[in-house]
Amino acid sequence: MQLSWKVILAPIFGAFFGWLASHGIDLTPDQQASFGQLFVAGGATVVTFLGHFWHEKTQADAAPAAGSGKQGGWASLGFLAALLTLVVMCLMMACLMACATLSFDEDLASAYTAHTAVVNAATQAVTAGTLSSTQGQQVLTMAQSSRALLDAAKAAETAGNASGASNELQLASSALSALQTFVNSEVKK
Amino acid sequence: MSAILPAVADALDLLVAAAQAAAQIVPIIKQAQAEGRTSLTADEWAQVTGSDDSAEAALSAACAAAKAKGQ
Repeated sequence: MQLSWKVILAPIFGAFFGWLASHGIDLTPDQQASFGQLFVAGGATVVTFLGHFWHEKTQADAAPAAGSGKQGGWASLGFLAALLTLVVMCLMMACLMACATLSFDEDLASAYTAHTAVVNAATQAVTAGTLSSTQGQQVLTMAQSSRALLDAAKAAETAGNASGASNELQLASSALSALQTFVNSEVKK
Repeated sequence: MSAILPAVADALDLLVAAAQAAAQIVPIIKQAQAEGRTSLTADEWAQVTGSDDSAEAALSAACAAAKAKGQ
């Protein structure tokens, strides 16, 4: 079974890595293998949640009088979409981080961009009604905290404090991970 | 079926938003690497932080709008 999946995925990955190479992003075989593992792990996560939501929908359809049907039915696909977005974003960022060596500035800029992507995903979810205003406000508060750490890292680097900048960036990355975890936890509800 | 289409549209919107955010940094890094720079210019930083500022403002506005609707 695993072999058949590899046979199916190999040409897709090959085409994708070729596309990346045509855009100046050459991944080593090790990086390609890591990306493939990440892709499979992300896909497995999405499939797991899809199964979860399908199960909830079938239960909701079977007992519409229970009152929780709408919350657990197709409406949950919006949450799934947000989760899918985060997975795609993580894959894209992992790919970006894997390509060649990034300077501190490039690393920091990538963290800013990941931060932007999470905030954009949360905005879309609030607009679509799949996150409540309260949940969105919580995401915003956490996003502002992680943004402050990113700004601190940038300020430290500008001041010539390389180790301080690196520490702040690590803290910002941790805060960003916590933000992603929070959004994922809300997505599951 | 009618409930699926909006969800699919939402998913596409979200994917586009994520792709736009992630793809924004690629040309900046490629440009810096092509020019042999290890640091970003002030304009490039302004682009990166400006996008993030706009994203936070949009989330804040979306939260306010959702709250006004009672969501």
